[in-house]
Amino acid sequence: MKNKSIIIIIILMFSFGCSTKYRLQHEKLPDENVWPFYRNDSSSTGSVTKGHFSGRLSILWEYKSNDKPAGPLTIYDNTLIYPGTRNKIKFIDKYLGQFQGCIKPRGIPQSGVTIKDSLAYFAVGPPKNLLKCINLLKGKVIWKEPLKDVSWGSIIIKDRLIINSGEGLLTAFNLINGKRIWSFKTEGRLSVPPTCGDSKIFQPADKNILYAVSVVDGKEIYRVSLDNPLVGAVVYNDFVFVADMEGNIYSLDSDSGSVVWKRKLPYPVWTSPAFAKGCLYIGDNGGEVVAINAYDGTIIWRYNAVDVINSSVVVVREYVLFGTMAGDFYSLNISDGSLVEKRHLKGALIQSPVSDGERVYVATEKGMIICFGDEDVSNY
Amino acid sequence: MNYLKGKKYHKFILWVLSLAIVVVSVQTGKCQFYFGKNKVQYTHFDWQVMTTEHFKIYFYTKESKVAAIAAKIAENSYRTLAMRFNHEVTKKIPLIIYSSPSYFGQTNVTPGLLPESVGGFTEFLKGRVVVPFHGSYQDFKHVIQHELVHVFTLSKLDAVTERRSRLRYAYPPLWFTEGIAEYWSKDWDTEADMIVKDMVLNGNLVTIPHLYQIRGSYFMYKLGESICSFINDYYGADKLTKIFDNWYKGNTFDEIVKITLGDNLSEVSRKWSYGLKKKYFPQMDSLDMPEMKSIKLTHSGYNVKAVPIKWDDGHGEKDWIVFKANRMGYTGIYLKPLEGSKGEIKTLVKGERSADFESLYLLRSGIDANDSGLVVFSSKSKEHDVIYIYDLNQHQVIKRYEFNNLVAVRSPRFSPDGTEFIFSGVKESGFTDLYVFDLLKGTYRQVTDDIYYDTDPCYTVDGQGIIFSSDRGPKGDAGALNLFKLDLATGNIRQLTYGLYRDQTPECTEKGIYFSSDRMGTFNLFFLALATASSSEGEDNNTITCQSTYVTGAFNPRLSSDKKKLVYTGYENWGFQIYMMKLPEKPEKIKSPIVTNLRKWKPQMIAAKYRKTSIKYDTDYSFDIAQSSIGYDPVYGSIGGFQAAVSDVLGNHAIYFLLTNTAESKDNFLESFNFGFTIINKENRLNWGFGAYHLYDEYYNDYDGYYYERQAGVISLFSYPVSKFHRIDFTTLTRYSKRERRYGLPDREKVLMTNYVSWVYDNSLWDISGPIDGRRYNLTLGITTSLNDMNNFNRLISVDVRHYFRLGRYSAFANRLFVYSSSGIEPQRIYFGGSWSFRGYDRRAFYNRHILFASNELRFPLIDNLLIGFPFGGLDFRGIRGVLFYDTGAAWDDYFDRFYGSFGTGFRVSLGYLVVLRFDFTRTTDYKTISPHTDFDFFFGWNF
Repeated sequence: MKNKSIIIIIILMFSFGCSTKYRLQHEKLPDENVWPFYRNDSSSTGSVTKGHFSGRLSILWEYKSNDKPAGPLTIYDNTLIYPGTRNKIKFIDKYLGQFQGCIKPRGIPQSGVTIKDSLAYFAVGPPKNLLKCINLLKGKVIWKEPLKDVSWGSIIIKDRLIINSGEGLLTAFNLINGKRIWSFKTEGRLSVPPTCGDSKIFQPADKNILYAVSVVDGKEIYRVSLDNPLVGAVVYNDFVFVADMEGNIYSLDSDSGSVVWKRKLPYPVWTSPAFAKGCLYIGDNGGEVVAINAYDGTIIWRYNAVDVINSSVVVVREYVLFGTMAGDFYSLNISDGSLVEKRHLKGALIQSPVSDGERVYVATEKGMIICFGDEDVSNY
Repeated sequence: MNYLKGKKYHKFILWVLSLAIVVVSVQTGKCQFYFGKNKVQYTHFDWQVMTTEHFKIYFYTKESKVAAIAAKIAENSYRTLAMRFNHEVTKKIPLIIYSSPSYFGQTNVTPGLLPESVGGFTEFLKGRVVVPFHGSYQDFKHVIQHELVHVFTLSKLDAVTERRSRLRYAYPPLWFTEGIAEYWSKDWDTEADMIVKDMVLNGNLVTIPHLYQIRGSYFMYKLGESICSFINDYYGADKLTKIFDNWYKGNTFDEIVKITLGDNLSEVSRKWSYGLKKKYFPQMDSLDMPEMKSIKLTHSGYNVKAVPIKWDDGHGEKDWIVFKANRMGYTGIYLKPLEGSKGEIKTLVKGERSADFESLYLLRSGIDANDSGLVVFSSKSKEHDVIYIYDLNQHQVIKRYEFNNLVAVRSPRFSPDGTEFIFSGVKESGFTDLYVFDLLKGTYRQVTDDIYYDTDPCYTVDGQGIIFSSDRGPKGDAGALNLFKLDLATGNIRQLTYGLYRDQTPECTEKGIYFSSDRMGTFNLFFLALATASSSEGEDNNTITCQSTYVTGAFNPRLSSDKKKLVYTGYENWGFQIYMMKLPEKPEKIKSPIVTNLRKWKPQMIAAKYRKTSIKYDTDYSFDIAQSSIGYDPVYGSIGGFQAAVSDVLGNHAIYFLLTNTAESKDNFLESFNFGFTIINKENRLNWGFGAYHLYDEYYNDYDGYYYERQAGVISLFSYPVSKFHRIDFTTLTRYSKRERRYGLPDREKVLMTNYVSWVYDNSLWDISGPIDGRRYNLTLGITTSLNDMNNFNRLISVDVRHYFRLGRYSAFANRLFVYSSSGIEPQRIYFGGSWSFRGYDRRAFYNRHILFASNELRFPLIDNLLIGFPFGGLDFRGIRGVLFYDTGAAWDDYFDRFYGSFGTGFRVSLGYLVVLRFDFTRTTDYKTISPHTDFDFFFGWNF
């Protein structure tokens, strides 16, 4: 009898999992909470201007996950959302680093999670290839749509979710019912998320083309052929800044797509630039982070971290933050690129850091989630 | 007659496995094999370890400069590859450096013999990279970076798939791993272009789906490189990296390529082939194939480095060529008349069959000959290279010159008066310089002494100067080889040719210098007029004329005795042949670069802070393998064991463990432990090992029936390789042995001491199904003494002689004579019979103490390529060989009974280099009658 009970418990554990299921409490539902893109905003600026982050990298807490990050982190009110490679999306208290629960996406959530109100959106990769919307209050799937091999990162713009797929399709879904509002077919394959500015979606594509597509109906507004496969874009006012994998940075007029300036960096680039205070900040494979004047393309400063930078730089107030594949995490002064602090972490840094302006969160390839900030800053 | 059936068979297998691991397979690398060539550790290295940012560099003191250069190259390459792969390798990479290919050949990192063509390798178990320094810094950089691409590939694939929790993933095809290693370690170069261009223009291009047919060949490397280059150029510069990033998305490489590029491999192949045709076909408009514009002097095999001479063979003075060739698998030196395209070829020296001529360096070293009938050439002979002089008049080698402080010597060349020869030599430090040998005094002197790579020397016509190829020019660090002139009287060196080209193999004449160069995109023949040779250094050099315009490649120009023709090595249709062409009447003048910067360069070394980290190497062990096996027998319950092996980074030391338990009930659990360990040391020429073991199990043989035996003892092993081909093995085994027999037979309890000594010789050359040339001998004597009463417990003699007579490229007649005899109180009987020994009789049909056996076999090619198509795809069998055989033998104990015989036919199907399927159709005979039915036998394994 005892043995049977143990066997039943084991079967139940395997069937339903032993983790706590995450449920958002009604009373804790914020008035409005949107995390529209992994780069903080839908323009992909990677810049956080609010808060009191001091640039110091004191470790406030660490959380060891038993899996690796499958996509970028998401901040949702007081919760940090971690999409793991073992088919779990974990919810962690962003102040204390305590596990709150998880949901099972039934696949690897390689797009990361975007959120509006109580609805979370993510896409799981091969072999399931599904885009899903989950109600965090009930833990139920609201809708799901087939979508092949999405890149990391989807954007929420008003009532629609914009996301692309590896086979070259850019699609807008209705946030509530998941209906396809429009689809736009590009040439070749897409492996970089889109960005948005001034009612246009900008989609960098593998075949050296930047597409500008209308948010409203998905019609092509223009396309710009550049020199190499494109790896990231950021939009600011009338400009869209694009990086290609050979290290060329372009400033384009967002209305016409004409090239305003072009700057060649010495090493290949696989990351998106961040925009803040009139400058672009970008890391390259040679381990250099470069600050570029966004108006004329001149280089303001360089910082050489030596090791490969594979995750996009973010700017939090006065500090430029980035990690390397060797596991070093840096905080630089935005004004002159001087080093504020450097931390060696366990595991390579492939996902871009995220911040709420007070603290910075990083996930390493060893499954460590680390919260940096000042010990004397409390948000409670 | 297989007496080992059912449950007993499990026990037998376990016993064999146990004994094999403890006693046999743990012996020193070589002596575990019945035959086999030897890797000889001639040199004792004082290993040091230098730790840099990403590497642990293993080197010996004499090559400390080369190690510091290697460390710098490795760190630079690491940074380049980290950017290419978008990845960092987190563990320090072990990089083992040897200062010469001769030393490299002694490495124990891999147990097998390294072919001469191996320029370095990455060992995947522990991620070790092993690279020799050949003298050229550009090649050194290429090989290090090539091997590091393999390290990054493995690390990246592990990281990508682990990130997605994917335990099993598609293994990259060899053409891709080697192709990308070539593509990301150097620029597209003239050699690669020559190989691919030749295939395209001659209609021999191997498409991607058929690349397995040339698996592992140099051609596969170059085609793989070409495909990667095409993917980068056609699909996008990000795509090769993204193939790795997408590795987790597909179950096969084809799927991954499809996901990344949008095209599957067949489509990529189609576009790549088309692109190559577009690229190369237009070149035929202005260039020619060697075969269409020259007289082809050789036709089969690889034939290179011909030297024309005028020599009297006793039938009047005639024109001849002396050349190197690999015609049947071995490299040799040959002589043939110049006139007539298919004249008789005489073999002068047979290489690779004996310790005197271990390797004749087919491509790496030139030869020379003069009209007196003397031929000078270098060869590997045991630890170092030597130079031989062969006299055509005496039909033999007349002189052998050894150079104790040089580990390699290359490309000797006679002086015009025949009193000296010049050659390039490699010191233990790894640097390549020029040396002059005085034939009258028998001494040699160094004429260049620096870090540059000086090669292909030849005398000027007056004998006062040396023209040679070197990387000492301003662009040497980028890979340029230019021609230089050394004044022997003053020691002054003057640069003659300039530019980022490879000018090599100069041939001096009164009017100027012929040489081969890739200065027009393809290796062709050029002439530098003497007027330019005498101009001052740095002067605009504009009088080089183009002597040939071949589309594939032309090398090693030598002027014929009538001064009107050039004999050269040409490349076409997958191979090198010797050609002869007339000198052009109006050679085209070519433009040479104007030289303004004659800067000196030096190879960069790693920073002093890293060099200071060097410490003496302390044996650094890590696991090679650790595994356990569990089996379950319905009657005997669970059986299982644990095996482990550890070895050090350099592979010189190894420890093997075995632990099993053969208990049949819990009562005899403790006494049924089988365990053993063996410690092996292969650091020096004398390989040795020792171990101890305890074995207890139930066994079976045809003489005693079933019995239990407990054995506990110690073993010592020694193996001394006399050369690559000979060795002496000595094994001592002292053990307690208690045999509990059944069926009323008495038990036996003894302390026994066994000594075996073997002489093994092997110079065989292998085809895909087994040896086809050479000889193999194994003579073993053994004596076992009972220490209880000091009696001769048993003694044995075993003689195994195998000869392979080559009949053609793929055919041979093989014979084997095997004699075995054992006597004493308890003689050692052996099993005999079956597909691997006496065909037509059951496996282990005979169990006797005297065996006499002879086998004769005709091996011939049957089908070269058999493609069987199915609706779901095709099966392609390559290299199907046929055999006709006749075996005869006898096996007896006390009284000779009779001879047995068998004959038949069969075929062998090679499934790659690891598996050969054997199909035999045999009839047996007792020499009075022949069996009425044909016995069919199917087995795995090579021919004897």
